[in-house]
Amino acid sequence: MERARKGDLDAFNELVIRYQKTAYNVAYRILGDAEAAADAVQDAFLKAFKNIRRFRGGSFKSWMFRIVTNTCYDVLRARKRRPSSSLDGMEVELNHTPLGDSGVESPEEYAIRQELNRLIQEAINSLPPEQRVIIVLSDIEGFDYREISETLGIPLGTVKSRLSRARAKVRDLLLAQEELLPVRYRLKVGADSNLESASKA
Amino acid sequence: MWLRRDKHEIVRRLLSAYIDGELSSQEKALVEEHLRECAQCRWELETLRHTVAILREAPRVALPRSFVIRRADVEEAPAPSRVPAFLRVVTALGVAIFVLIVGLHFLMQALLPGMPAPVAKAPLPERRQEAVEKAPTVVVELEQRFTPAVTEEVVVTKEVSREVFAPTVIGKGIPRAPTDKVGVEPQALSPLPTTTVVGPVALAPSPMPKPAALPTSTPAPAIHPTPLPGPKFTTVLRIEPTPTPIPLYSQLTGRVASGWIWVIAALVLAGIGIGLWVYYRSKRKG
Repeated sequence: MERARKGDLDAFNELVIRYQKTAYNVAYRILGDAEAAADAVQDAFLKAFKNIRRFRGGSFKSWMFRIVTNTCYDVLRARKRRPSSSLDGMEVELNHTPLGDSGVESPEEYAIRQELNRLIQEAINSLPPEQRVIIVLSDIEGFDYREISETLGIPLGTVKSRLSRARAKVRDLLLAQEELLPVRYRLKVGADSNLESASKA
Repeated sequence: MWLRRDKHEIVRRLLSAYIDGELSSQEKALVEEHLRECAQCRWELETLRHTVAILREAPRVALPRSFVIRRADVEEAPAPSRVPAFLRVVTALGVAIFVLIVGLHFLMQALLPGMPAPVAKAPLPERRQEAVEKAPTVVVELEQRFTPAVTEEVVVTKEVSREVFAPTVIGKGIPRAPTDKVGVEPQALSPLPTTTVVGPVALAPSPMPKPAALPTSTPAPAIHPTPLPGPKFTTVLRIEPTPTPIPLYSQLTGRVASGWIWVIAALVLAGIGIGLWVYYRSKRKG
C-alpha cells in the first residue's frame, strides 16, 4: 500500500488484482452493460492511480470504490443525455462456480442462473442511480453499512433509509413478474395475496 | 388508532435494517413487538428477506479481461492534459492583458473628462524624435541671432518645471507658438527644473526673431520680450509655460502603453491562444 501511494505501478497493480473482480461486478450491476462496465472500471483504476497521492489513509477499499461508483454515475449521467437504443451488454458470461455450489454445473442450472441474472438486472435497472448503487454494494457485493457510508460519503441513517426503499422497490418488481422467476426463487413464501395487495395500497 | 398506524410506518421503514441486524436494541424491541401484532409487517419482512436472498445469489459475472494498468497507459495519459493547461494559461493571459488595457483606456477617459483622445492626436514617434533633435539648434539660433548686435543683457528666466512641461512636449498639439514667442523646448528637457540664463543679446525693442526656424510642431512656452525704457536696451525674456492641464492620461499612453500597440499585441496573443486551443481540441477529437 505504501509503495502504491508513492506511485509504484507494480504495487498499485497488486491492489487492482485484489479489487478488479468486485469493481467490475459493481460497475456491471450499476450500468447493466458489460462493455460500459469494463470501460468504467479501467477508467476508475487509472483515475485512482493518478490520484493516489490524494488518498489520505483510511479504508483504501472505500476510497477505491468511491472512484468506481462515481465513474459509474458519470456514465449514467452521460447516458441520460444521450440515451442508447438498447442494452446489448446484457448477456454476459457468468462465473461457473457460484457460491455454495460444489459440483459441476449442468447446462440447465446455468440457464436458470442466466435467467435469474437477467431478472435481477432488469429490477436494478429500473431503480434511480443512487438506489442502484446502494443495493449493489450492500446486497450483491456484501458491503456492510459502515463501508457503504464511507464509500458513498453519506451518513449511516441515509444508508439505512435509501437501502430500505431500494429493497422494497426491487421486491415489488420481482413480485410483479414472479412467474418468470425460477421456481425456487419465487417470493410468495407463506404469504397470502391479500397481504400483498395491502402492502401496495 | 392514529398512533398504531404511525408505529406501523416506522416499523416498515426499519425492517430492512432489522434484516441486517443494524438496529439499536430499542428499535429492535419495537420492531419485534409490532411484528407480533401486524400480519402485513410480517409479510413485508418475509418478502424483503427473500428479495435480499435472491440478490445475494445474483450470479457473479466473469471478468472480460484484466484491468491491470499498463505502463504505457500511465505514461501517455498525462500528456494530453498538459497542453491544454499551457494553452489555458496563454489564452487567459492574453485575454487578461486585453481586458486590462481596454478597460484602463476607457476608465481613464471617463475619469479625466475633456482629455482629447490620445491615440488619435498623439504625435508620431518620428515627430517627437524630430522635436528633440531640432531642439538644441533653437538655442544656438537664439544665441547667434542675439550676439552680433549691441550687447545687452537679456535675462531669460525659465520658470518651468520639467514635470509640468514634459507632457506638453509629448502630448497633443498645443497651439503653435505665436510669432513673438520663442520655443525653448530643449531647455524644458534639461534636468534642471529652473534656470536663469543671462547672456549677451542683440536687441531692438521690437519683437523677437521670427519663429520660422523653429520646429513647427514643437509646443512652446512663451518668451515675452519686455522692452525697458531708456537708452539701454535690456530685455528680460520671461519664459513661461503655456498654461495647459496636466495630461496624465496622454503621459500614460504615450510613455507606457504607446496606445494601441499593446492592445493589438494582446489581441494577437489571445488569438494565438484560442487558435491553438481550437486546433488542439479538433485534433484530439479527430
